[in-house]
Amino acid sequence: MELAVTSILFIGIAIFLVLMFLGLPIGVSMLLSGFIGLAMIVGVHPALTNMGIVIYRQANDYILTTIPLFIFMGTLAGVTALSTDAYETLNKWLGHLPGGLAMATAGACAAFGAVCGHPSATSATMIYVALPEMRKFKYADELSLGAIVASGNLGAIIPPSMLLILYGFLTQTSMGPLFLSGILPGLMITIMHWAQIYIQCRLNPSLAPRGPVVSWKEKLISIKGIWGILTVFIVVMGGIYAGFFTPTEGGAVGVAAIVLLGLINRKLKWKGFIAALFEAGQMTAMILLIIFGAMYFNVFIAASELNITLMELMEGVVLSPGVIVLMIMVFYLICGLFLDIWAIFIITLPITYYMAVTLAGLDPVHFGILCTVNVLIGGITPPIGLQVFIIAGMCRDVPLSTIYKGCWPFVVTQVIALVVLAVFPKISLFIPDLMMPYR
Amino acid sequence: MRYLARAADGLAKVVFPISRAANVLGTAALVMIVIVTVAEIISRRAFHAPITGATEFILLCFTLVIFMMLAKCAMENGHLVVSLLTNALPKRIQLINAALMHIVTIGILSLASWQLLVYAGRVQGMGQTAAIINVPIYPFVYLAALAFILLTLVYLIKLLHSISEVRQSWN
Repeated sequence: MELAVTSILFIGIAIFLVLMFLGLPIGVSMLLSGFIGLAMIVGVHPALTNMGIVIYRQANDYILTTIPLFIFMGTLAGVTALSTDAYETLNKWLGHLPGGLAMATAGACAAFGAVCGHPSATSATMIYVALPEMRKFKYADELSLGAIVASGNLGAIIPPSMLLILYGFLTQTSMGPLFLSGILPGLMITIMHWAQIYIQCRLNPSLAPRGPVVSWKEKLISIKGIWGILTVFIVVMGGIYAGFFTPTEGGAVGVAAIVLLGLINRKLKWKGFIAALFEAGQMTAMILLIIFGAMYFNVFIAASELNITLMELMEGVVLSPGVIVLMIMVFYLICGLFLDIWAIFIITLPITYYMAVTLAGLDPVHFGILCTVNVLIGGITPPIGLQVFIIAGMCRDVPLSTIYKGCWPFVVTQVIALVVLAVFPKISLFIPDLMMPYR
Repeated sequence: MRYLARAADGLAKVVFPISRAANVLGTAALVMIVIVTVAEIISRRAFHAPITGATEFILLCFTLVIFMMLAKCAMENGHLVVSLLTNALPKRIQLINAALMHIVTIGILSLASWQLLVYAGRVQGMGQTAAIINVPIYPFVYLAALAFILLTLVYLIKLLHSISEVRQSWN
């Protein structure tokens, strides 16, 4: 009987993968393979009954409300030009350095990441904000687009991160420490990007001619461009950690703060508000169809007793926690090449979380940051890297090979950062431990 | 095969406006969540008077958010698919594959719609209501089922177009 259940598990996973690569929507693939697998284990009638209940039950999960709210916050930040202001400020401070505009792009992505939690959204914004400026100063497209694509990842590491929200929801890890754990790694990777761009442009000055030097007076005046993002970030994060509201409510406060800011700045128009609202709706629907499928698929995974199978498998094999984590990291890197970041988390976390946290004893918050950075690196790694495709679709005048070439140095930098984060958990855990010692 | 395209267009004339209206309802519910959450925080913090039943109201709005926007998203091909392999196939095979995938999608979404309707009936039978605001839950489950039916119909329209395209590619 046990062998049969294990076989059904593999059949279910195989059906899912085949259907997904045949072009069935990911959520629908999970729903169908979950149904077939569950029906084989518990029978058709219970599998059917479960389908309606599991799908509707998601509407009762209060934590899930975080997803549309933070998405809406990000789309609103895009239409209120917060990103443009941040880029202009960083441009004034860094533009005269070798590769200064690319450094400003990385910095602006990190700043924009403080209000927008999605890598593609962050990169897509910078295509409109930073690319024209870099082209004006005759930057090589390779460097410009490499910086834009790779730095988009900072948007999903620095809180509020959509991936960390999803991780918290799927693994029932507290959202507060998860948000805090993204701050230092995000800043570290930003600084590493700056160093890498500086070295690259020192070695090959033709990549990026230097920009004009700006007076200190102008630099100081330009700081006002970043106050908008800072205000929203402090209001949302400060409010959460001061206990004024929960992380779930933080999204709504963020939306309200950006609307208020946009009205004060007169940069939020009715048309922009509606566009941001519908865009948020579209992204929410896309993610939730996957969540419906994934939650039902997880019922099948639970019925297949995968945890027990995995435990039995691991009993015979002596693996150190480091090796388990390394295996998961390599696995995520490969997944990131082919699959959308949402799908990877939803499909794999029930298994990898069990292996890393229960078997290898990793801190759940630390593991959250590791897999987030890991999956994001996969998304920008040549020769596939799904995030690269999205950006390439927006810049059809640049060959895909040029963007890939530009991504390589950033991939190396982010892999180094990942290793550093894995070896020194304190980088991720320092702020959560300091601010939430009893988490 | 022109009649298939005509049938698809006819169906779209009914399904698409309803899906758009459902989408507006979903986005309006999202705005309501923001307003009620912020109002609740202000009321709770500034006046020490939390709004009774705010969480329940937010969850009911959330039901509209998560279900009502599904069909519009499908209309705009917004649901995630992995097209790395299928894009490499010859055009005609791509069209046949798309039609087959639409049939599979319609099959499983029909089952989900049916089960949501069954569940809605059961919730209605039990007379379940939100504990504090005393609103019956079953209309929301029926709306969820309606959203899934709309989603299925959007894929039916896509299927009719796909079959028509497959036939055209043969001529």
